[in-house]
Amino acid sequence: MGKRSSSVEGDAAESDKKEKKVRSTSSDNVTPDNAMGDKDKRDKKSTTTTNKDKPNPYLAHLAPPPAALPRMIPRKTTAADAEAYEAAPTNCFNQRPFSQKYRDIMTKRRNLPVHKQRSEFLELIQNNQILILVGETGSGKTTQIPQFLLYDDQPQKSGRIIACTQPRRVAAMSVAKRVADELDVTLGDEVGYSIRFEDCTSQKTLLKYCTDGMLLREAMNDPNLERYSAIILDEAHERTLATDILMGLLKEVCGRRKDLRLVVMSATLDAGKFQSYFNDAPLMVVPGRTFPVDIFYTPEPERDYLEAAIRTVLQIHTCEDPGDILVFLTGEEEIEDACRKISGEINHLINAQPDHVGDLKVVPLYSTLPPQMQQRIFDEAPPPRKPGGPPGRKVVVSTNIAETSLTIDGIVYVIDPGFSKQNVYNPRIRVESLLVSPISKASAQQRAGRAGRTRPGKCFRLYTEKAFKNDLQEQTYPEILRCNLGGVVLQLKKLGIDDLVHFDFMDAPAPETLMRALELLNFLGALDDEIELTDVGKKMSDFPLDPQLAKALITSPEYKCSNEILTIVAMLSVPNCFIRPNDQRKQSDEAKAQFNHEDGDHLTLLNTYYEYKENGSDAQWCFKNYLNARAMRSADDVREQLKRMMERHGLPLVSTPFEDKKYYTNIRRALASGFFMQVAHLERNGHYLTVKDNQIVQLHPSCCLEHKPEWVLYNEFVLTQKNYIRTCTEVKGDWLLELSPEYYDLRRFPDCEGKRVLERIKNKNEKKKEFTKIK
Amino acid sequence: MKREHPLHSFNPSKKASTTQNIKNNSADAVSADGDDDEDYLSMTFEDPKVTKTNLTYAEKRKREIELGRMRGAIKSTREREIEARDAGLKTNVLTEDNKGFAMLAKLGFKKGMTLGKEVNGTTTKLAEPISVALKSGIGGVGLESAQREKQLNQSKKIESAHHQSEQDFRSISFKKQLDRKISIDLVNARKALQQLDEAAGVPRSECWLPERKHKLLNEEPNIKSDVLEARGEYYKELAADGEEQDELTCEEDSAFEMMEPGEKLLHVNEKLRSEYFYCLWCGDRFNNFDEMISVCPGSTKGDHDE
Repeated sequence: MGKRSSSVEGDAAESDKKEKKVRSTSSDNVTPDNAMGDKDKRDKKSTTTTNKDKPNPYLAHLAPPPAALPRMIPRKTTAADAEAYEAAPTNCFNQRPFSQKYRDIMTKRRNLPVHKQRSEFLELIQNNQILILVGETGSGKTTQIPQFLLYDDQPQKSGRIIACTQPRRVAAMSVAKRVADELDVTLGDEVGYSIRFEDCTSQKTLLKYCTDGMLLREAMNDPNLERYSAIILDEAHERTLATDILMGLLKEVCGRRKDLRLVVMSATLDAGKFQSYFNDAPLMVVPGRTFPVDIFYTPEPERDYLEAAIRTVLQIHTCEDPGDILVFLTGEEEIEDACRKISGEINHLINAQPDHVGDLKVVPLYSTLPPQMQQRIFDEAPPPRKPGGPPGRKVVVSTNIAETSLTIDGIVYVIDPGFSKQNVYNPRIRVESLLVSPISKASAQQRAGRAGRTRPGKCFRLYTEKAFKNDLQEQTYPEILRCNLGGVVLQLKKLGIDDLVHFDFMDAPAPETLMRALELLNFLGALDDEIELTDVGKKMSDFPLDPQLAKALITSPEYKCSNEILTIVAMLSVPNCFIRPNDQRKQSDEAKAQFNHEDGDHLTLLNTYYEYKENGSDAQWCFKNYLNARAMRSADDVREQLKRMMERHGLPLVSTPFEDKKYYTNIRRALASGFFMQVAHLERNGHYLTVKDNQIVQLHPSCCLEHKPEWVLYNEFVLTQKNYIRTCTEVKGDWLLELSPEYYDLRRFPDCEGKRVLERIKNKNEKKKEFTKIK
Repeated sequence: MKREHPLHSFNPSKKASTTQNIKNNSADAVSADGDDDEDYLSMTFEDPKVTKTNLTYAEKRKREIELGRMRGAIKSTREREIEARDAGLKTNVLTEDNKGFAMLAKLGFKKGMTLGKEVNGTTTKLAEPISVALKSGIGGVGLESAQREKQLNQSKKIESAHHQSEQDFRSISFKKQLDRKISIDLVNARKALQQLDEAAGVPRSECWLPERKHKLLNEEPNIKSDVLEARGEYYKELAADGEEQDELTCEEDSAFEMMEPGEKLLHVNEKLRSEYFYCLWCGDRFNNFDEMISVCPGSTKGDHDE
């Protein structure tokens, strides 16, 4: 290990030297090393301006066409140089001849707006360590900028590669695929991607797309990110948790590693914030391919925004020119409801005026929708019912995933009621709330922009202009201000950042949130009282899981159930596997009941997974049993990955024999070892109180428990319209006392029935102990 | 579907341990009592008095809970859930007895501070967690603030009305009073003219009372007008009727109808005095002009007041 790091340092020193030399040449122009290259370039330039230094035609035989390619010195290239290589017969990255497909794509690439600014980009990045790049959607920045850097950096020579982060897994995969095609290389070779639980890169990889979370994980084992010569943070405006932490981290790394180049790319024009954060880094703006959008407000606030949205759809359909409609609503239920109502109203209209109203195809879109249903958003609008009749139209009713993540071509009209569901963690009662709240001005602009992708469009805002000005906040709160920091603090500690209070946050979360995170990690035994990582904490930080899950997994071998906990953790790390279609609730509930375990939802998940494996991981079987086959498959993948991590850490994979009556008890105890802070007690009047915070909660309707156990642990406490605890399993009071005497220190316990129960258990246990002592 | 894997036998032997069963039963009993969960409260009413009434235990209990709720002493679970939540959301947890706070303090944090770098960089620094705002109802963006503003405006209006000077108020009410008196006189004058005209065989003129009102008054001559007089509506009604009449008679001659009530009164009074030697305020018909001149104090209401 020590050896390796020293060699890496050596590399860094060497490249630093090179860097210095290169710099000196640019100022003096007389270093023998590079004189040749420089002269070449100067010659070339002068041929275009004056006619004095024409290439000698008699020497033409000495330079056959392939050799005519310009010499490329890393970080000294020009756009023309790179284009010469791109137009060469063979690919300079894998030495294979370029395909016809490559050339076809090339013509399209040359038309992208960002292409016109290739020289400008190279000049800026060659003279600055950090660059902020703003480009609207459709500018081509995500695919082209990494390639510009690739030709300029030439990682095949330096051995240091380029990384480009994406907030979403799907984007990382699909963009990598696209860029591999554009460069005419095989995906996974020169261009690859890396996302949680899936690594598609190799030794050959020069350009890597990855999720921001993955790069952050890498930084945990390589704090200076020595593997990389350049890092591109894409979609920085989305301000995901990982991107925010990476920005803070990279700002520091850039101070330590002058050879590292950083490009921060954003799609919105609030670039000023990024510029000032990165010490007034220069800004480059790439125009997008967008058309003007007319914005309409309502004269009065709406009394019922859903009804107003539906009414507007009908008005557009009957009165406006052809063009598809995009409606933004808040959640699955609301969207399905709206789709039904729109279809009903349209049928009425068509029946009443068949000659004036065309067909309307209504398509829902939300993240939990199965992929084949999501594909329907790309369907064509229906044709006129008869030749010359009124044209058909498509309306997509979507959550805010259509705001940035997904682009639907053909949208001309956007209806924006101004709401979205926002996830906000509150450290005071430790609740995750998923509430409908007004969007930000930035979001509203983004939504409106969706109408101008193919031609000039219209955006109907279902609120007044005054409400837009006064009732909407400027920016959506970045994730770091809205989430539980437990996992983040563990990562920051692993990254070697000790001063958590003064960490260079772009936006700083509430102190109470950080306090809760420290408290959690301390009770879990990951941080000691001096805020240092313990051995357990180091292990936990290696698992890409919430601290509670990581803790349960790490302690599971002690309870002889690591195989089972592995399964449960994997099932909890993927989207909900139970499908419950609106029109088949009864059938799907019955199907789920087959897997139910009377002791709780965690064990139900375990049963479901075993059944899935028993039935040969069959998608058809999943379909019949109302299970999401994709979720089950990825649970299987995740389990495999986690299993390897367990092995790497020397954690044994064991099970209690099924015949042993402690089989399930052990599993529940292991779960409690991670979740003892997320427990609720059943009060005598029939409702649950969360431990310590004394919040009245109810078991979520999806919970499989048929009775109400005295103590339950829960995976999450969410506030929707009511306080719900979700994914619950029965535990015992004395386990809690045993697992964390510190958290269950009854002297520091607020008064409640649960406290009295625990006191009784404690007294009983102490008496028992004394009794055995006497014996 | 075949289920043979041992994991699927769901262990019937394990089905609810005895303690669970007990808990379960008590929970069931509670829920069987009705939709309220406050069974423990019922214990306090389980005294001999119960036997005196004809109510069953459950009924009695329900009534007591209902009464308690009305007094505001007993709250539903839902209400208590919201109360506890709101209280929890308002309570700052940065307290010395918290383990996490001690750790924060070790990192150099003091109460009242925010996180982040002190010089440049960090832009937003949250001092408190983002508030949790439950949206109620289906109103659109800005509806609530618009309603709040409306309410504010209304209360402002009321206030400004209060502030209107007393003088203003007096002059306005004096004018109202006067208008009302003129209107009453006008109605009486027109009525008198109509009667006199009818007696003399003169055809209907615009100076008579408008037709509908006229009929109405004929049916219940005085009581009706007395009753209506008390209310301002009477005059509104009259005015409205007058307008209707306007439309009906405007083709013939609208000169009279165009007049102000005061002018109308003058006009009708003039007619009464010159044609019938009738004085509205004396309430008498004189035999000739001279008699009227000598007996009647004058041609205005003011003359009669003295």
